[in-house]
Amino acid sequence: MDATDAGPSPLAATGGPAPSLDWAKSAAALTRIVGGVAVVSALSLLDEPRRVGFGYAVAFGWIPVAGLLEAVRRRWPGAVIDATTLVADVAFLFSVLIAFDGTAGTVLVALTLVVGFHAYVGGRRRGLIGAALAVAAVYGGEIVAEQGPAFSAFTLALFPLVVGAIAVLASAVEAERTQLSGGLARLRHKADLILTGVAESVMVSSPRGRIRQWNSAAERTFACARGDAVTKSCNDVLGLHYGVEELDCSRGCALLEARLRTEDDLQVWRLGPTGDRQPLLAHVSPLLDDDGAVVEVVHSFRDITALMRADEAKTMFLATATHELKTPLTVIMGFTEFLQRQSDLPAPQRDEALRSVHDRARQLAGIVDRLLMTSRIEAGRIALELRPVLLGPMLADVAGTLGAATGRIITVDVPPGLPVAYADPQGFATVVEHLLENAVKYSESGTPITVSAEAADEFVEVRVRDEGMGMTPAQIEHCFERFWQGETGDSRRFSGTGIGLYIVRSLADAMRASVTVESAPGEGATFRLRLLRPEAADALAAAGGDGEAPALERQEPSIIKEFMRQVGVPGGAA
Amino acid sequence: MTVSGWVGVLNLILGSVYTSYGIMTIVDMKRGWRTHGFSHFGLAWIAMAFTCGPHHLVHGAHVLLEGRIGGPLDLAVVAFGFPAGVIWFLLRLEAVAGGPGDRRIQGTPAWVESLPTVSGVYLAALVTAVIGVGGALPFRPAITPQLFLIVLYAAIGAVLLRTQLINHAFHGGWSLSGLALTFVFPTCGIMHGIYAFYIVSGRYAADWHGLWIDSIGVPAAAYFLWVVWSLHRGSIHDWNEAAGDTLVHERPGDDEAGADLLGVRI
Repeated sequence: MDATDAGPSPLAATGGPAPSLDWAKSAAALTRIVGGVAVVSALSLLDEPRRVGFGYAVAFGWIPVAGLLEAVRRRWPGAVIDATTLVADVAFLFSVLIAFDGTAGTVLVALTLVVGFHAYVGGRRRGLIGAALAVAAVYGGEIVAEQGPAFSAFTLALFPLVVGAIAVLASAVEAERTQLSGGLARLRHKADLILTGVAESVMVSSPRGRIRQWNSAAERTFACARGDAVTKSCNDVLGLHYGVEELDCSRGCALLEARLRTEDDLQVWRLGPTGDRQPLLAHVSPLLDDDGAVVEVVHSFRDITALMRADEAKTMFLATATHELKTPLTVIMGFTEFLQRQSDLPAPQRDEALRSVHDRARQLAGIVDRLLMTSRIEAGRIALELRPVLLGPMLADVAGTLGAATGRIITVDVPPGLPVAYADPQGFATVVEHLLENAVKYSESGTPITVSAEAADEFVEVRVRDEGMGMTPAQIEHCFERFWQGETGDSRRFSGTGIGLYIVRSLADAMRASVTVESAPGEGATFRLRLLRPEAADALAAAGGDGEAPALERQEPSIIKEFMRQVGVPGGAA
Repeated sequence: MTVSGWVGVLNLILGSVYTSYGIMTIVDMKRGWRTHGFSHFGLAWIAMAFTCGPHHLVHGAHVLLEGRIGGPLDLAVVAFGFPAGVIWFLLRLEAVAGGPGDRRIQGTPAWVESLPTVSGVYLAALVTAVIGVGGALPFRPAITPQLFLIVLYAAIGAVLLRTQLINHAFHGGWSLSGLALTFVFPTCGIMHGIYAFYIVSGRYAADWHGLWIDSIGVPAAAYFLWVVWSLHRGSIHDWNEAAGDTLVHERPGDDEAGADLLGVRI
């Protein structure tokens, strides 16, 4: 039976991706076999099977199991389950023939019905195979039956002809029905697949604003299940606004009217599940009948929340970066003009002015370096040379330099004999530098800052700890995002472009390391950088891992895959 | 211990081994389902294990508890296949525990070289003994599943033997686990042959439980053969294509390796 003949598409019915079929096929086939065997075995354990009788065995054994499994088979059709159910059915009735002798005529009728059913459902080939199996079962039963022949020679000769004819007729009827409905079902199935598969939210409504079709993307965008949306009013489900105006579709599709006015896609919005504004890009087109009347309206929506947020973030970043660049430039320009005007300035004052210019120029260079690195990260042009690196001296060096530059005391706590880790020296130094700068910036002067390191079996962990203002859980969630800053707007207390921790995470990823943070408001923050040890990195590379997670998880050996190798299956475990 | 006692005990051990391995496979399949999906191979082997295992258990129980008198030929075939089965199972346990699950046999030692001859002598002796004991006996429908199983197990054994020969031609040496498994299937087939012989000769009763188990064993073995063959042809997908805990090494195509086996360069 073709999948397209199976009535309404499961995709359309659920509005979701195709379910995995294999388990259902296997479970169905297994249950049918086990169910049949269990029934006959249970009955055969009775002292006198005949007391139960063939009719009861079929009525209370085979029919419920077969009916249940046939429902499963129709839900998830396939060749494997077709073949298995056919064999299971004939085998079951064959076993009944043996177990409950004296019911031979009934068995013939039952077998004929089973074959007819399978021929109707599965087509001529399956019907003829079923007929052959049934004939074999009857003849086999004749051989097995110890009480003598159950059928006359005439019956035995006639049975193959009758059951074969039934199989052919039933399959012919089904073939005719299939041919008539097949084309339509295929088209419908294809339409369902397209509707379900597209990434955009698609909604089809009546001209009066009642939802008729609703795909899975729409379920996600509008957080509304198909069953809750279809037949409901567009107003109730969508709640769209165009500008400041709430769209009213009760007298016809308001979006279609707006679209006819603008002749372009519309940017609308609605209140999302969290109460935030959810911007959507809407495209609307009418479906017309032969007379040009609108019979349905097809809407497609694209959620542009992420795009809008990215745009807003970029705008904010430009404003912030401009401000960050302008501040040191203003100082530099002020001092250089001052030095030009005061040519006879005493040496100490001149040196002080020049030092300020130099400090601001270095700050400017730092900002530009970060911007360039962000640009390189986004372009995928970071070239790191990963090799075993001794971290202790590098930590001391970076901490010493930054401590001297900022006047903060940074404690370095590295145990003797710390093993090497897998990293790029320059990348690692940059990461630690950014983490320490972060700690300096967000903690009060005079509070301790500690950088420590510790070895585990598979990685070396570097911790940067400060006792500053800390972060809320929401801030922790976003702190590694590009352009993100804990404070925004004119009220922010700290300078910065919001790319420092983004660079940290990007470099950590590129070094197959991980970076995490633990923090609470008012309790400071601890950043943990886990770098793989070389042997773990080698093992990860050998296993084909991409190295995103430094904590290696060893998979249990699979006896199925191992057994496949024994059998010589290509690509099996080696 | 009497012949019956040995037949009963060996069958109970074999039954426990196969059933245990079936349970282990179920556990493995359940564990890998989420990452690798459904495995035809796993299901086929579970079906095999849960028909082979119960067959031996039921036979052992009949012999030990219900008065069935175990035949000497039955003991001979079970004992002949027993070492291979035990070696293979122990290696599987080792693999499950994270060990190699195999031993590489360098070159072709004398005992490996003698296996075909020993098998031939064994088969000839067995046929002679069968003829000596009962001769050609009439067919009984109750042994139909046994006859199917003989053919199917022989076919599976042939596929495995072909694999071992190809691997030997390509890699040199032999896999102990592979040889053991190759040996297990034909001996199982022969064991079913002797079982059928004892049924038609009247020594063993064609009991319902055994008949049912063996009847289910036929589609199970056919399914297993189909799966193995389909995997070789690449017409079905299974866990062998899933990335995971193992490395996939380059392996020559069957045609290439087969041609090499025949001394032909392509």
